[in-house]
Amino acid sequence: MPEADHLITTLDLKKYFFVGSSFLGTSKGRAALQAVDGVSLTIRRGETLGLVGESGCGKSTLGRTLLMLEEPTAGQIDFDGIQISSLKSAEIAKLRRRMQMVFQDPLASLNPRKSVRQIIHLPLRLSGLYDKSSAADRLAKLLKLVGLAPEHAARYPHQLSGGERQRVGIARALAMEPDFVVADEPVASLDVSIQAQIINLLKDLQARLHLTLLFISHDLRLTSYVSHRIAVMYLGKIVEICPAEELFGRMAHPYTRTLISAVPSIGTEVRRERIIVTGEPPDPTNPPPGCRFHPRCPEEIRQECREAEPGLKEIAPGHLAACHLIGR
Amino acid sequence: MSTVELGLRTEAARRPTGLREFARSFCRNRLAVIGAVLILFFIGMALAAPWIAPHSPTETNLDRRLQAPFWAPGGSYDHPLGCDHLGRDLISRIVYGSRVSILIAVVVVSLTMLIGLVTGLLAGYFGGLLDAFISRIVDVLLAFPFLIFALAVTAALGPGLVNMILALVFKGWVEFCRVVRAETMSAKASDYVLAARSVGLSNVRILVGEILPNVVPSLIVLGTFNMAVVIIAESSLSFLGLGVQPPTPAWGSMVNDGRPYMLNAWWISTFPGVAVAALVLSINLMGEGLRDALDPRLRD
Amino acid sequence: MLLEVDNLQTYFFTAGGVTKAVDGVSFALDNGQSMALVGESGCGKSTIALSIIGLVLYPGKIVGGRVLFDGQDLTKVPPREMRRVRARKMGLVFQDPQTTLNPAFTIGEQVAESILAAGGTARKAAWDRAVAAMEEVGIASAAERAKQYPHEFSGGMRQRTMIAAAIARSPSLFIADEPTTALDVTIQAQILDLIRRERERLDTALLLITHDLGIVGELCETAAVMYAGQLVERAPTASLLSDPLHPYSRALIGCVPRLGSRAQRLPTVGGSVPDLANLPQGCRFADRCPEAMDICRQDMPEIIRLENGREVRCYLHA
Repeated sequence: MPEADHLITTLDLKKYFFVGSSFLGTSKGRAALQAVDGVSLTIRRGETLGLVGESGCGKSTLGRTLLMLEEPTAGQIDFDGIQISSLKSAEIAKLRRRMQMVFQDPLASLNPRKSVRQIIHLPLRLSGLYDKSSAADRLAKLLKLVGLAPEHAARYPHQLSGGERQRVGIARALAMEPDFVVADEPVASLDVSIQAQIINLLKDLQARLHLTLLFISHDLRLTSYVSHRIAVMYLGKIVEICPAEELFGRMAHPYTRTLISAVPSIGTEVRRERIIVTGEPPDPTNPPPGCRFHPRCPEEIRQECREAEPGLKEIAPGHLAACHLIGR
Repeated sequence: MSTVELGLRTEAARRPTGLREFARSFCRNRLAVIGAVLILFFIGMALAAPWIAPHSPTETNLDRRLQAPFWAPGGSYDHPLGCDHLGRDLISRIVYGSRVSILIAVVVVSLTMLIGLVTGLLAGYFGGLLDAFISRIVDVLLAFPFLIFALAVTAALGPGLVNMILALVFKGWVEFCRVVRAETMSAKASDYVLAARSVGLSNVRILVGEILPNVVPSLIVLGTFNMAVVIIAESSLSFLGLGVQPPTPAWGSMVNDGRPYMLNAWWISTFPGVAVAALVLSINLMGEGLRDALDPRLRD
Repeated sequence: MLLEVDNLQTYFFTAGGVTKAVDGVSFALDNGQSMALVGESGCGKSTIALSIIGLVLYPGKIVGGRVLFDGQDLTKVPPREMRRVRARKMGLVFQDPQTTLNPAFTIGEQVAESILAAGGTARKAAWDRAVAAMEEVGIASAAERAKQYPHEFSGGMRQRTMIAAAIARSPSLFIADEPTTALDVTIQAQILDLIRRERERLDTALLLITHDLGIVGELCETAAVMYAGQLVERAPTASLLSDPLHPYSRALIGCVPRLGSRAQRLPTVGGSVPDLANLPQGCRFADRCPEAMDICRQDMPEIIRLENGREVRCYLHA
């Protein structure tokens, strides 16, 4: 795959949070919450990469770190060939225009004291692409693009429905004409029928604007519907990446299999055998040695599962998995 | 796509929140309105003092010493609330005394709000060493009981209006700093600030443009309550002789002046005391109304 | 018949008008049966649950209809008696175990409290039964863990605690309101399994309130779809999910992506839920229905009983 086709590349990216109280604001002597622990992935131009995992797996942190909203603890991030992980904040600010985020809770991500117009106007003006009059034009076009009516511009977030608020969030993210958008659980707090509307909108927008999209979600159905490729995350590490079509038929990693089997089936779907994973998700400040999933793995694990961390290996074209048990 | 297809609310567009909506919800609270009216009354009294006070507040006349209010034996309509131990007209002194109380309240609270706002924003947003530094100062200042502190300051600087203001400001800003710091920290962790960062706003612009508007309402409410505290503090300090010096009328020192005469000339302490209570109560009522009206969640 | 809801009406009286949250809902549930109330936010399903257990708070009020439970009309029962009914005969499981457990008391105390509330048990015996219930729901080392506080438990464990409290008195009816919405999908699978097991063991009836069509299929024999305060369809779950009749049911079931399918667009339904304080004259779904006819907008359709036992509120099936 030619390099120019990769918009985002990460190399052994790590983001740790230091928890506990500190003395005089330093991080000495605090436990490390290993939210993202060595992630190397690539996102191709124009594709939607789905990132799934359960709560605490680090997917939100990974999304924010890719946008340099969190400073990486270690590792490297390349955006369109530029190594952004080593840039100073002033230089990153210049690149911000090209990478934006849509947040999960639209009520929390919109400043309650600002009107829709003010919320979208800010990035428009900051992008430097529009002057006063063309900005008003662009605002109207953006509202239309996300399916809002012109009268929504004067409203405040608490006067909008959940779906409308999320549309505002999407409009804000698109205002600067970014190349890359991270959508962090964009529909999790919405009703099912509104979820469908917003998902359709995202799919449309991606096709029309040639966006590269990172779709973070815990919902496997929606993610497989929207994404071209899917990455599965567990406890700070990517355990499997594959094309979306292969996720349900040919998933390889034991965790992925338990995840998929746990999704209840609806209607005429083929009923899968339920694999019940035992125990509770482990503590991210104290991950198990070796393969992180081995204490809960439903398969018969081996000694090396307890000792050595498996790396991501290609098990089929375009399909990678991190597991010692595959291919033996 | 029609608005129906888009699943949008098709109700008539509601007026955006702002001054009008705030005024409406405030006025719904009758007690708050009463408080506001009373405050306006006191302010009016302070401003119009030279014209509404029947006599000079400082002119003494020992003939009228300890004269009773008009409904009691020995009283006259000329001095409706009686006179104090130096024959000065009580009503005029109360009217002029309101100037001191209100002036102090406004000046002190404005200064403490400003200092508290700036320090709180900086400490809450930037954290680290700056926060540690400011927080330790706040902790130390909070440890001092207020009156002891004021005594120390005036002992060092000498009594008087300006020094009293200094003492009150020096102690008072920490309260605001704490609240603003807490609100800033929680706003900093919110998604809308993250969104502002993702759009590329600088720290200063985030502080001023995004966080500040969300912090100001609590600050205003705290400020109104603080005014009541400051007025009582001034009264206490004047009572102790540390604040406003005679013959300038101040409600606190007037209460003090009347202490030896409580049994035979109760009015000298009582009426100024009632004035303090009335002003403080009205400020508190209005402050509660402000808080309720400024909270967007309670508005609808 | 264990539970019979007969034309229940619960309205909320606010400054903005009268919100008809539940407007004439009727259904029945027999011993050991399971039924789901499915719908999106604002449809009234949670209000029905609150109406049944007698916890509708001001400004809401049950204004009409009856709730017959085990021979008593719960709408006419005084609060004291209602508390006894709730403690002895009903097991309640709510959505967010974070807020429904009191952080100031130990887990064991809270489970034991629900046993004590039903009366007739001594303190020590209640504690023992609480520990036994916790073991039953799969909490390891229950005796020690009962002395821990809610913040020391994970989300899944807390939900197990809620279920332990619910089963401790062997109730005849479980009412579960979004029991797994706040949980990860693998933990959800564990909890669904647990609920199923306990229901079989105790032969308890189940009224499940949810918006998640997946778990409806896992737990319930019958499902009823709610919209704008009314029941619009009721059918055996398998039939409803594979062949929904009401246009709203069809839209709701249709807009969940099927695993493995990558169709171009998810079918969606335009418009939005009507204002419950300002309801239209005819069918409440008419302005969003792709198959609406004139009569739909003029007259409210009644529930029609079909031969196969299914119920629909729609002129298309008259």
